[in-house]
Amino acid sequence: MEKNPYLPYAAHIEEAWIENDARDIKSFRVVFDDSADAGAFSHVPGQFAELSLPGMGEAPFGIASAPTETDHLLFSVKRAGLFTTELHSLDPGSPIGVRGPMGRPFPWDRMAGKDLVIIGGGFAFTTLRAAIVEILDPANRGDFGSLLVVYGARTPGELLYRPELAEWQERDDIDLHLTVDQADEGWTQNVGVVTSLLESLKPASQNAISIVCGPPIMIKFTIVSLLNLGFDEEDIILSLEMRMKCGIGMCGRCNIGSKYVCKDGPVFSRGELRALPVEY
Amino acid sequence: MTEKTIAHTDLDRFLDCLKEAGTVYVPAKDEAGEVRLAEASNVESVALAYRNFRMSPKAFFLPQNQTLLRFNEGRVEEPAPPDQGTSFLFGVRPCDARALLALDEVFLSGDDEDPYYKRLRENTVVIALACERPVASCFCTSVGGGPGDGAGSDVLAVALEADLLLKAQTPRGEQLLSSVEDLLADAAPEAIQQAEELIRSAEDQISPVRVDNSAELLREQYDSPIWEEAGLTCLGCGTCSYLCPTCHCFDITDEMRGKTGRRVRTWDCCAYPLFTLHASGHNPRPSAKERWRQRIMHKFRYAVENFERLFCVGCGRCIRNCPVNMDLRRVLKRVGV
Repeated sequence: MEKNPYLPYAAHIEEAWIENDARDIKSFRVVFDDSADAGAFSHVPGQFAELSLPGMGEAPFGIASAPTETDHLLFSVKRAGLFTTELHSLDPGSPIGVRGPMGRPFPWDRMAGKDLVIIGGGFAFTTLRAAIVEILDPANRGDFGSLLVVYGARTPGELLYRPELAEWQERDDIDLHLTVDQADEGWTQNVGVVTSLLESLKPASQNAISIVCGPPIMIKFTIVSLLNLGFDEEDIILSLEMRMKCGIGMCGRCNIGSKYVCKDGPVFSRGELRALPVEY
Repeated sequence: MTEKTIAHTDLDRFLDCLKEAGTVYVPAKDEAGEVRLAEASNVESVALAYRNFRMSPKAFFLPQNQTLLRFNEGRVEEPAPPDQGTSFLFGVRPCDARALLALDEVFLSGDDEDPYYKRLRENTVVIALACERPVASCFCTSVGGGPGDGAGSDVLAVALEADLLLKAQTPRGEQLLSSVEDLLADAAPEAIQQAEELIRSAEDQISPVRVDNSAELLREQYDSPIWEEAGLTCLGCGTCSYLCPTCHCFDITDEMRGKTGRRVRTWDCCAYPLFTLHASGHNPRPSAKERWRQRIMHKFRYAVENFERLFCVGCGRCIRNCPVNMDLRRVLKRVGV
């Protein structure tokens, strides 16, 4: 019998830690209770899942781990509403349901062989982390050209995955630039908005694809910068957020025009979005 | 499949045969004198002269509240399927039967099938009854249907003077008719002609609304001032979508009592501000303007783009029952459809 799409996989929180100085973003390492479920849950970076807490409901979150990290899923969640507040209060070992994977991932077929420009802002770095880990895997790294990552946050303490960012900055197969709006003591890297840094780096747009995730205002200006750098609208890849319930295109609330963010997205090219109403 | 007839005097025997196979619902007057679908065992006499039910029969397929999961002491379980067997809906109007084809697109045509809808759809047989006297707000003939349209039903019935003309629309309908073969006669040419006249006369009573090209025309009307005006009138009460046979949007919430509870699906409505409100406070449809636009765009443009089908069957319920007299026909006319 086909699996009931509303029935979550049984899983538990293996480990949880605070990601930022504001202490409102937590990362959760989630492990399936049944290894067969772990095998059945086969995701591609860019996709999301619905986390489920009986009595509290469900909410969609981008999957921050790569498929190469086979023993767990990673979610980084900002405390915002009822569900996320409850989630933040849970201890390791707590049961949690997972539905998914859902949605259209980053366009990996089109990314193959291209130079990649990944631009992130604030806590919208989760599925970008999944993409970077996937690309950096030795089995995959040769499939792509250069990898430029520009990541900005308001302050150094608001950058996610800081230990990992530091490791990546030591490597020569990824060119990672960090920037903050406001430096603190000890910050020796860039200060300023992502777009200024991007424009000073001047990545070539030929044979390149850019993925942009961040707050709306950052996305708006980053698109302008990328277009000025010569990127085609189809080569600017964005990921949207929307209130969701079912996650499978039925409950009817996450549409932008005729497209449902849950199943036709959340990843869209700038060109695709331009054909849709600006209702997001 | 040829048309059959059954004498009105044999209708009770026909329904008794169906009762042996499952639960039968028939049109009958309630205490307030309003005709609605009621379980046949509790009904003294079947009503045949009614316009349409106030509530569409969509609740038989998409209940207003439906348990998706049960929570029990930390376990998460699928609810046991209801053991009611087959349901027979006798007397559904053609517009409401046609609406099932729209719901099928949503719940059965995608990558995922909705198992709850699927089970109810598979276990429910629809016997539609052609309309003799449409209401002023009916416009089924403009949206692909008609008072004698059999689409979405298993059997289409036409009430004639002495008998009912029956025509199977699906293999399941054929099976049903052959199971009550003893009660049926081959329809006489006069009966077929009488039915055709009855349907034609009903068609003539319906005022057409132009909706062809609606998807194309609405594509140009996203920024029309009409949405602002409609939004100023709309109360956001949701009556239109609760009564609409094709509206299917739903919410999912959890209900707990102690350590047991359920995850329940409930009808929702795009007219409500919370429908699209993000946890951050951002709302992509912040006012009634955007929400009314969504309602019309979804039915007359987005559904056409996704399924090549209007998500309106012209039943007119939203027009008849709106507390502030909103009329989507007027809005469609204004945007040039």
